[in-house]
Amino acid sequence: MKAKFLRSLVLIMALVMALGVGLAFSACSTTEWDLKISVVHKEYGQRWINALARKFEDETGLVVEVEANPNLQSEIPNRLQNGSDDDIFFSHGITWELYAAQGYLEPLDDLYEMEVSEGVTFGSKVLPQFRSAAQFNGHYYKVPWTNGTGGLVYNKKMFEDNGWSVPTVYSNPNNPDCDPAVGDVGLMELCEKILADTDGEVKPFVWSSETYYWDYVVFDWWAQLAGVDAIEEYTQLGSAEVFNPETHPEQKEALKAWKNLIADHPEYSMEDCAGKQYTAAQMEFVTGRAAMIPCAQWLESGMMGNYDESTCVMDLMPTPFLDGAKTGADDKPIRVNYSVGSTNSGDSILIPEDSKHKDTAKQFLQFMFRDDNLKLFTEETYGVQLAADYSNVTLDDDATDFMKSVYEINANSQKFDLLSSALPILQGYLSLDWPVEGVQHYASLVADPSTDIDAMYQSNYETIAGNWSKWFE
Amino acid sequence: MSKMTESAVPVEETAFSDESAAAAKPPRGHGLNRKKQKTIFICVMLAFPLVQLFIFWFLVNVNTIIMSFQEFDWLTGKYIFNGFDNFIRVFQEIGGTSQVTQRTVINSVLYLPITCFISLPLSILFSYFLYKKVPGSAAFRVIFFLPSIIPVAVLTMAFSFSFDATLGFVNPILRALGVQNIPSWFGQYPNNQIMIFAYCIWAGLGTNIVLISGAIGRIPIEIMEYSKLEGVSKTRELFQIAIPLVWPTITTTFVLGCTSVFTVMMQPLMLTPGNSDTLTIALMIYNGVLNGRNLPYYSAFGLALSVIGVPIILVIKWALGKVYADVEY
Repeated sequence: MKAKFLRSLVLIMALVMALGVGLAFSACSTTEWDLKISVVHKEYGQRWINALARKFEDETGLVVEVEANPNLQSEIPNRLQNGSDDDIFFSHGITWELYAAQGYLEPLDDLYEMEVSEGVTFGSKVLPQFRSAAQFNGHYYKVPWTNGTGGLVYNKKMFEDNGWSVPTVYSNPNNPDCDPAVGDVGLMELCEKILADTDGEVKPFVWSSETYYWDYVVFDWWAQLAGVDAIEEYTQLGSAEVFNPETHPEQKEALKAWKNLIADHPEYSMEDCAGKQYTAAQMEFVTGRAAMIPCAQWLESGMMGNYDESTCVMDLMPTPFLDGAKTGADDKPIRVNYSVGSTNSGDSILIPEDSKHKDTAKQFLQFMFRDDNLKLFTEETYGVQLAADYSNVTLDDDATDFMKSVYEINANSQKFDLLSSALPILQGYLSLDWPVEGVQHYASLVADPSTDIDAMYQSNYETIAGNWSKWFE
Repeated sequence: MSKMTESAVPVEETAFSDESAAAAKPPRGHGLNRKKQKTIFICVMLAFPLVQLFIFWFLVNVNTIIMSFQEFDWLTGKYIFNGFDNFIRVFQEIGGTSQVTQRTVINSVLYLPITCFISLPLSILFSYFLYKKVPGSAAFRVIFFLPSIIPVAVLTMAFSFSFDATLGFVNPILRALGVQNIPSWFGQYPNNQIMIFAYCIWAGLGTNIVLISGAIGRIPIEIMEYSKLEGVSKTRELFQIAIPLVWPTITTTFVLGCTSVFTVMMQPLMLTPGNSDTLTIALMIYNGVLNGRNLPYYSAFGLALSVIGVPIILVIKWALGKVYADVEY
């Protein structure tokens, strides 16, 4: 009896397992959708992809499956190499060049030739600086995803309540009261005014141990001094001389400006910001304990529902100009803005080579880069913009102040990035944002403001020059 | 009817051993005897773990070893043989050409003394106190084990928020006690590294205490009672009776502690995100693999350090095994 029972049990279990395996295989082989889009589920949320997918379904009658996955970035390599049912990936930080070289990505040259609207090709709709960085070995393999916008986010309500003006320059000692009627308002002077007006209760800045958020300000200063063309030349890595601090001192000068503002004036920041968690810094900002925070376009969407508009209304300010910023034909300093997230490989939209619905995937991307859908994306992400030409897009009046400020900065600034497919970058020998090894100096400068920045840059240059020929072998 | 048949079997027959009964019975439909059935059963049961071991351990490690002697050719999209170049780069970087790599290795090696010479002795001490049922031991048992059952993301967040200069509770207490110049706990090196060590000690006690107090609890009560009758002090009881008797468990915990040099990753990742000062070997490899740019280098990095580290750990294990003779009880 017992043996019979055990045999029956084993048989049932085997049948159940076989059924499970069979169902799993059938699920893999027969999809119930016409397009599967997998999206990394982080700062931008998933409202935007749901809205776009439903609209695409309504227009085409096709069925779209959406996977919003916080771990997608680490899963994409396996999915590309081992095959999956994905038709489009949206992700941060994927080294797409590696997979393009191995043939795991669908070439997108034909997509870039397709028309998004009458007479406007997809390629011309993609912002030029991102377009060139989407090519590898002469072919397009990715569509750049977002045109990140960062800088100093300020509490607009607090500024208005206290009569503070948004600073336009780094420092203007001739206008200590920060009166716009007198002249340019200086950031340094504003910090003093904030402390004086609030008896130190409100600090000018809060920031976190994730110090790379300061890059969004410091890199703007760097490009103000060097010009976006010089940054472009820098990313081309023509020679080690682009790192020579004697001939290219702009990044060093930008870092010195930061050191003067933050490391040399610890009273401008909340206590021990270098040891603060990012979440804690955001909380301090939205609860009105600090007036400004270095951040980017996702701050409002990330904090949505977690703060009271009677305390905080966010706005992104154009980065105040450093003395010596390049000027345009009108003799005014040129506004620049660093495309956040564009170091290394940046944000990417990829179509796997083994996708079963490549044409539909390209059709979706065409649809996504239409003006009405650029607007939809931006509205659903509370201000994030695709890496596309927004010149024909106007935000609705009910858009938040933050969304409008992000839009304004992108529309009126020369954008630049640090994207590069040069060999030493791909092989991990060199980092373009903070040469040589990608180590930011903010925390160490706060810990030791006497650090000799000149010597540090000279030493980095010597290391790079010494290894240059080896890295480019 | 069948019941009647079964009950009709003579008592002597039911007393046969399983093997002799199997031998006496005629072969069943499939014609396999009990021994063959047993062999097939064992093979089937072992097949799954062996296949898993082959794929997820053997193949992965073989692939890692092969990859460590290769480099990626960005023009052809293929991995090509490059001899010992990756290993040379690893040792050059550890030797000083990369401050990040050098500090990463130093940070990682420091986990050994922290785990084995601070965390483990504390665990032994606390386990002994719990065993001796000091007042409040039940509550302490929960307190010690609580960090082990709370998700690491929550625990690291709670830990770092406690030391936040404005939101935490530690700094106000220190100020109330008159402490001036409170340091930046997580804002600068080496404070942030020390804080990660402190977190590892605090959060790591629970698991060690469960293992060691379990081992102490299995010591025959008669031995402890005898020592009590003989007037042995608690210190002597701990060092000359309890520790020698649970030495195999301590050795295992010690060896596991040694492996922390290669395995600690989540703690620095969660407590000091994006900070290159507090990297560990595991975290550096994790970041490198996630980035995907130079997998052969990270294969060589892991392999080179394992080749150095594994023999050291084996020697430590062998040496610890010589300290006390194994006792069975």
